[in-house]
Amino acid sequence: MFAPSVSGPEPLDEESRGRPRTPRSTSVHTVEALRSAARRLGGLLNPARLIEQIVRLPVPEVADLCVYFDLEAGGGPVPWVHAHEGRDGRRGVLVGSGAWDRDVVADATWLDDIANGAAESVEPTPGDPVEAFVARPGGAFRAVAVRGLSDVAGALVFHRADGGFDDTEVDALVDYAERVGTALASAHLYQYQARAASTLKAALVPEPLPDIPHAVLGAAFRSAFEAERIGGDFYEVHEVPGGFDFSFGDVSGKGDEAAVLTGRIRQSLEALRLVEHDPLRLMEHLNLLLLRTDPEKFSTMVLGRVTPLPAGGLRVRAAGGGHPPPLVVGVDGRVREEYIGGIFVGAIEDAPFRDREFDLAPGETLVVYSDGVTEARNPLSGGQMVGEERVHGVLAECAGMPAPVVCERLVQYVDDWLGGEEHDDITVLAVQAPAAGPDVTP
Amino acid sequence: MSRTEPVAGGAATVAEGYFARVAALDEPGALDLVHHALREGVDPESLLLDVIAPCQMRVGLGWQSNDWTVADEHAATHIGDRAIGVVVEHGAERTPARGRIVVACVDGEWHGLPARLLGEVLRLHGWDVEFLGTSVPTRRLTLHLQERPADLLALSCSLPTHLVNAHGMITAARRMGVPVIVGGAGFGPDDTIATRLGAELWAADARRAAALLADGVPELRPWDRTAVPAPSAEYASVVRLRGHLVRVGVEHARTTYAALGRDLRGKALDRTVEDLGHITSFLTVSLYLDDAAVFTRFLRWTRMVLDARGVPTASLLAVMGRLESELGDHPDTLTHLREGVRVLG
Repeated sequence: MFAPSVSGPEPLDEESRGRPRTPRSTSVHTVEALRSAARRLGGLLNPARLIEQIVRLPVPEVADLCVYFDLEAGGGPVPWVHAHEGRDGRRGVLVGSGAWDRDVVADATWLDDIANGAAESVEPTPGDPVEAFVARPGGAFRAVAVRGLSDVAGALVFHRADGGFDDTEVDALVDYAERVGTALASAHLYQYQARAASTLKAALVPEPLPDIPHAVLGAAFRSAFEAERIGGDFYEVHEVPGGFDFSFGDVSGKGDEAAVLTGRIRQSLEALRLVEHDPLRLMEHLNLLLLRTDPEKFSTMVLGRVTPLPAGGLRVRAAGGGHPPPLVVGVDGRVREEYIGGIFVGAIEDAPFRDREFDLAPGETLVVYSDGVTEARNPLSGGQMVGEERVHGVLAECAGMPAPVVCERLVQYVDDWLGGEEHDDITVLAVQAPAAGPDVTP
Repeated sequence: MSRTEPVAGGAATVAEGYFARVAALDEPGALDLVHHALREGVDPESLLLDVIAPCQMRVGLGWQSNDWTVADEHAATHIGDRAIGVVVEHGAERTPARGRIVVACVDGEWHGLPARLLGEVLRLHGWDVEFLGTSVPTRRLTLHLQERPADLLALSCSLPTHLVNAHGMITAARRMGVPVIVGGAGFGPDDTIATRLGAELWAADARRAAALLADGVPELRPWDRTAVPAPSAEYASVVRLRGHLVRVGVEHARTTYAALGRDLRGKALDRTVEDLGHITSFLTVSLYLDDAAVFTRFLRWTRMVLDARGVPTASLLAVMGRLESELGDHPDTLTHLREGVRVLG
């Protein structure tokens, strides 16, 4: 028997039958309405939304009910989406969904014919479960096959309470199903690509910054390959006993390949941290590890360990691997460079790395950025780059701002500078020592 | 709906105190006040729209009239953001009973507060709201809507120069089968631009947006190719010429500086490029929309900003003159430029 579903089909009642509707006196009208509906399916790329429109658009001009049965799931229940005219005084077209259990499907022989590719267009026989979609048997049903890329993807069922479908109209229904199949296939392909991209993204997108006592953290980024938010820049902050670690880097190359290397570096660092805490030693280990996997690929990097000072402020111990020098924004707006040095990580065997120790006074902010910031080009001034001087200038105006605001301000400045032009990854990380005074909320 | 009427008295008093604390950049004080108001039973929606939003508006005006620096404005916005957080936490246990709305700022748009306020107000009205953030790239939005289909996209745009991007995002949402509501100063004072760009709904503010959605989300507008605005041929041409126009403007400014025995470089040069970038960008958007009001509104605002800083409009008029002579073979563009001059004159 027919099993009532998630939101079962509400049969059309007397009132909606009696209401005057758009006349569909001629088959010419049906053909035209279906053509126009098919055109409107064109741009839709989301399968679920597309199916809603597929059943919605032919109602009421072509039929008073349209149901799409999804045959792609295979095996289990057959999901359906249906659209019908409003009832209980509600105007417009209503859309609902549910599923047919296997035993219901077994009673619908036309569906089996369509699924097997045996028929392109079938008229369900009286007593068929499809009649549960309308208040009382009668009128005419017509089912047509929807073909996907290769196999049958689903079936469309149309119902008219008054009169049937003539040959010209059945041909038009088959044509509509053909267009529906093409639209669904491209939507499914697009969804497949989007899923693949988002899986990659999920593994590589920076984790949200942790809440660290004694420090205010901020980060902002805009990646070169916008949609996936993955690319060659990475940063991470981990709380450790007595303080926290941070890493920031920019790997060679762009896109997927850079993303893969980024992922490898992040995993390697995670493993190495189990046995080594000193930033310089960590960098040396990482260098050997990366050389072993692929000597062609390398990364600039800053690794740091931060500990709070008893009298307020933070002590930073940082190792450098050929990365632009971190900047410190003073409380008075003065910007100083904390030069570290060192060369790329993962490029040569006996690479000389350097480390340094420096302090952040209360209210001071350490800013680490990727070269996408300084090398962004302004299309309006002959491709001039942002350069270090402008970065200093912007940061000087950021004195006293909370770390997240500093990062956002810098990325925003660079974005404005670019005026919508192509760019490399733009990434900024800020570590701030909370300002002194009674107002401090660590 | 009773909700759409602001609560008088309570919120008004809180608003004054809150603004005073924000003006003093007293973050803990401002947040305490919000906590206190919530405990006193002040309506959360009223706190968002009658306390936090007007304060942000006053901060913006403060910058316009040269009373606030950019840094002050950023710091104040940060407090506003935190204050919204306090209101949100207050109602954290609420479970959304209605559909899913994705809220995003147009690509290039960094003013996130209006969008966040809208998102939180819609949440208070029972919607399941996700805020995608400021300056959301179109491709990211598309992928996001593909991964997690939404019932509605709410798009915020404060600056008209991002309207071309807004159009792209509205089109993308449509391809995902998601209807769009738009708002923000960028869309102008009525629904003309919103309708032109294909959005289903336009709302002047968060309250009206919530009221428009009281009966549910709108249906997707039928896809009608003829209704999609086709930017004039002049638009494409002026976009191509933008770099050249800015160079001409810079040369002009250089001459003016030289006449005063000064050299145009460093920050002053960057500033000039930025200003010329804005002028040409507003000009191209007004061509894209075939709506000179976009350009004249910008110039009226610019004039106000210049007046507040005691800068004469003569230099701006001179730049407009240079643009006119460069774009002599672009009749529509000339019309827009001349209407602009009229506003400045």
